[in-house]
Amino acid sequence: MPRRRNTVLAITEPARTIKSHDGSLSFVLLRKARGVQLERKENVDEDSVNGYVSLVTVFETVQQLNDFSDADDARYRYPLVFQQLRREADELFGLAP
Amino acid sequence: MNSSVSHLEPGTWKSLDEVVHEPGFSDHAMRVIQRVPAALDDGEVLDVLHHAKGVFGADVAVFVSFIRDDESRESFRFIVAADPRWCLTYQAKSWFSNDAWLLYAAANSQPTSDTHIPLRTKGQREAREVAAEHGAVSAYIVPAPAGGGLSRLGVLVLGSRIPGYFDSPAAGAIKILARSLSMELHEWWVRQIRQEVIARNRLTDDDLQLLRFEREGKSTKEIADLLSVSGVSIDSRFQRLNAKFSTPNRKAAARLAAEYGLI
Repeated sequence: MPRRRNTVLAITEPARTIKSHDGSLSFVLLRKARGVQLERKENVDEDSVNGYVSLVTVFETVQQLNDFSDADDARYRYPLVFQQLRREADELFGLAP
Repeated sequence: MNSSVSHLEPGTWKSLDEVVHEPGFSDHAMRVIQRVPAALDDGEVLDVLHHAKGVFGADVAVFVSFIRDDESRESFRFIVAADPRWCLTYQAKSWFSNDAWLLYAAANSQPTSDTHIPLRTKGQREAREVAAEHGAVSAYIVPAPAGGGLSRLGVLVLGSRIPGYFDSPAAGAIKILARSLSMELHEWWVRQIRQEVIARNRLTDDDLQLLRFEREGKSTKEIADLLSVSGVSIDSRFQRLNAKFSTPNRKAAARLAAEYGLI
């Protein structure tokens, strides 16, 4: 389906990918008109799931994204990943729409 | 949990009955749903989910896709138009295998209010409380019946902060629309998975044809005759496919391809 001519295109900012050293956890961030879209993907090997779990959502403010980051238990296992996540988020939210 | 809407400011909320009787409700919902097949990426699907949430008067919406590769590997994907910390808690508590709503969707095709889904374990009750804390005080569970049986499952969850919102008789008016949305979301996700698997494994049309033959139960000799090649060539091609899929044999490779909707 072709886009309508008067559709406002989203900002064409390349996606930013952050990966843990072991490849188990990754984040992909992308600036969108609504805010910053985040995809979180984690390999899981437990009784309930053996594979991966991913989620995609959008944050309208950097505070929302930081609150999400603070609630993620994986930050204890991959502190550098979350440090980079915050840096990337700060940069993306600092861009003019 | 509040049993009334007194905590919500008067005039700031509408009942589901009021929502479905707004002029153009069905047409608006259909226009939103029809955007799903044309969505180019996760972001566009997420945008549709946000709009759909608003059309149905919901406060939150989550679509969950589950795919089982084989007996040992499975994946869950959440598209979240809600507080994503809900999903972090869900994952941290490993509620996947005991989720009352997912279990309902695995065994039923009819959308339903969550009040019709019994909570039998402490974990299920805890999961229900957490859902309410994140905006789904009342929830509408919409399975996306899929041809993959229990190896592929899609579930749309619409949530409202208004107690009993989806217990209204008006829920019947959104049943078909919600189911359409759930099915379109699931089909979109299956297509995405299919494209990813094809790209990741560098599968060709010939590979897929070979897997179809295997799925149909054809022997090496039958396949060789159909393709006018030697049986040794067919065996060799299946070995390469097994390597691509990391499967132990051609039967497993064909089953995996079927689970992903490739054949």
